[in-house]
Amino acid sequence: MSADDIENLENLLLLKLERSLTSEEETQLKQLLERNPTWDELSFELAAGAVLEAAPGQVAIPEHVRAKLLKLVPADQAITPAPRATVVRFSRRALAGWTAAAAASVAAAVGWWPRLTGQLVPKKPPDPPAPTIAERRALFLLEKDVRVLKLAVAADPLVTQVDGDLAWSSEKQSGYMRFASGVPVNAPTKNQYQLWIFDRGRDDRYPVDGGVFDIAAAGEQIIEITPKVRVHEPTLFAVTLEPPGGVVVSSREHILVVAKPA
Amino acid sequence: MTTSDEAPLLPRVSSGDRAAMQACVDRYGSLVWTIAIRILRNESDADDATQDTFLALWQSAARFDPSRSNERTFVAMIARRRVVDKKRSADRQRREASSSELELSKVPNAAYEELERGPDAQRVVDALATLPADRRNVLHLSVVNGLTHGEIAQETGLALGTVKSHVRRGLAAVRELLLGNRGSQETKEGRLSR
Repeated sequence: MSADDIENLENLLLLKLERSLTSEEETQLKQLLERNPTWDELSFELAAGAVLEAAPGQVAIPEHVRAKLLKLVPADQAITPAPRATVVRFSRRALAGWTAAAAASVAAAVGWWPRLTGQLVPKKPPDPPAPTIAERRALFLLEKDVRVLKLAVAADPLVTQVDGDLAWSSEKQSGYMRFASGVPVNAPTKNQYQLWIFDRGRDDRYPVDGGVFDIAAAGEQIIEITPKVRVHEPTLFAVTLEPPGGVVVSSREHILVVAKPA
Repeated sequence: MTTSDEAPLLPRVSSGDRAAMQACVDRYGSLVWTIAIRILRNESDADDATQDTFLALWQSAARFDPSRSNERTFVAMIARRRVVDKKRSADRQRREASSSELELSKVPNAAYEELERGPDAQRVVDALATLPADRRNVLHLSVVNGLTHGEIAQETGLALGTVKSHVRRGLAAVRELLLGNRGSQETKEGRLSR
């Protein structure tokens, strides 16, 4: 890799620390990273983390903030882990050995071994199970522009307490709502919940329809948000209770839960 | 204090161990809070960003790769992401508001103390000390104080290109140090002082 390539790579990673890259920049970064496997997208982020960790004069966390954090720990269920990151590095010698072994295995599988045993080549192993919504959300939270907002009650007596959060990515135009507690199970034949996204520059009387959903059971529920219309800058997320199937324009009779970007 | 012997918590967190999540708060709460209050300079915003950080940390615990960094560095990385997001959002609001009441508040009085550090921290401190003063200062303003490159240029009078170059080279130096700490051959290239 040339010195110019390294400088370009470093500049793009630096830019990425400050803002989201354009699609052209992302493509360029991907190409540069492919050419140099000792670098990856986290190279500068981890370096910045190390500088922060090393900075002198740390401040003790206030007790009230610590207490809030402890309350965030899930009370009665484990979180679903995201797939574990695996970084495997081989030496050239090891790679040569693996290559030879792999070649021998392939020759055995497609060549003399089936003839000798009269058996078919083993079938391809089944695909791994599709990730759960909790796993998809966990991966989503790693996206750089994701904002996580706490859910809050509105002034409706149907929901007087809520615990959960809403994660949104403007870049991906999608997000997740996580209800830990507080929003009751609904009967889909009688009514359904509907999410509305108020967007800066859009008439507040006609917020973006964020979709209809059900709270199917007690305990943590995660709902994916995929609005059909582009949201430029969300100013408020609101959940209302509506007739089955949802409505085009809400009467806003029951605004139950909101999440407001800072 | 260096705590190279502390057992990592994130693998336990990733398997849903609630006690490990609580232990994370105690072990890393002050690190995250410090990053948040330094960059945001506002208790309410720092409070929100700290909560966002721990939510993200618990959800992404399985992504921690000990061959890449120590756990404390990984936590600091996640915290920086969340805090910078919060700062961008707060800056945008501030620009939109006309009132001077929204000027940055001072860092509240707080108990400064020497808290636990990870095994790489002292080596990073030593490495930063070898950087030219301008570069070290600019890197500190960018990463620790969370200023944008434009803000640093204004603050220091340096050209924007020089600011970017200082931050880039400073981070590249720290990256190589981290790689070196994990057995990479790259440290032999001696690029730390370039």
